[in-house]
Amino acid sequence: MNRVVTVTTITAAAALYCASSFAADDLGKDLKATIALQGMACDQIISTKRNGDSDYNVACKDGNRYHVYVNDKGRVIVQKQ
Amino acid sequence: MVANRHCDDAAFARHQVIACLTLLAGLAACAPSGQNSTELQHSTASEQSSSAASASSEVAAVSASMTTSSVATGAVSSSVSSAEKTVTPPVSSTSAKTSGNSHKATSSSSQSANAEAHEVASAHETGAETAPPVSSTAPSNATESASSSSSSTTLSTAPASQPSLDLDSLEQRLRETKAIGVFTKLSLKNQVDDLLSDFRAHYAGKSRVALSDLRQRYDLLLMKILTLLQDDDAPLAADIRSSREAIWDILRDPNKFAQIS
Repeated sequence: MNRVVTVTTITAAAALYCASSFAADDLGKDLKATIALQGMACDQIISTKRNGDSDYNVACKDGNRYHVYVNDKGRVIVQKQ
Repeated sequence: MVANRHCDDAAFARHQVIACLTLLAGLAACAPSGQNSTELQHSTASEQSSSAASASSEVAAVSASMTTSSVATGAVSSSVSSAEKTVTPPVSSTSAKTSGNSHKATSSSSQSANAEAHEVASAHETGAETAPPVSSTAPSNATESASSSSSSTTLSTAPASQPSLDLDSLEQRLRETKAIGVFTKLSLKNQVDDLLSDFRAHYAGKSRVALSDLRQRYDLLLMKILTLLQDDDAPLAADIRSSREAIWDILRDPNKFAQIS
């Protein structure tokens, strides 16, 4: 019975970790595509920091840093920092 | 007593198999994100995901050993393998994307995951059948980018077949597709709105932008959308590509444009 509980717990943990991994991947891809759509360079995102709703700081592997956010007019703004 | 114990063992084994299948379904769903999780492994937000990867690999090792035991016991695993065989892609002439998806489907090991993957694979295959093939009828991205930098007359040599245009359906599918993230969708919408406002200014006589320049911007914008869609939502990309000229016919006609804007 203990093994069953253990397996179930591991399954739940794996599903949870997978979900968080998916979310991080999706966010990274989304931000990278957004930066590229604005004509800015970012070869690979190495870190993202959420400042608030639709507001992120992004660091790229090539050293570029961007502030990606949605302004009050609903436009996506990518500011190089 | 012995029979009772046998029943307990059987129930335990059944529960174990179910748990393994659930775990494998989760891991199979997690598998395609491997490359991108390594991209984000140094991020503060993805510290969880890197630890998740290590934990998932441990879990995978556990599940692998458990799967082998369940394979030894049972009919369930044999049905899983038969399900895997049915998912094997029979198509060789479709695009690499379709075969890639089917390959992903074959890598999943649970019945439910296989059923889902089979639906997805069959959907992609039917999409590839109904929609125009990406490589055969449409120019490649390199050709598109080369032609987009040239005059608009060369751009009008796009696919001749123009299916009936359903803008509402395309818009709805674009809104709902998961191939493009929220930020990217919003950014694209901004650019579409900018282009439409430039068309309005052009027809109102408030802008000196030539129609050929607007056509170039339209092509570039469409190319961005297709680039974002072609890997993860190939049917939608194919439909948009085949609607390119029909949409342009609306945009370049002031009367038709006035009706949609």
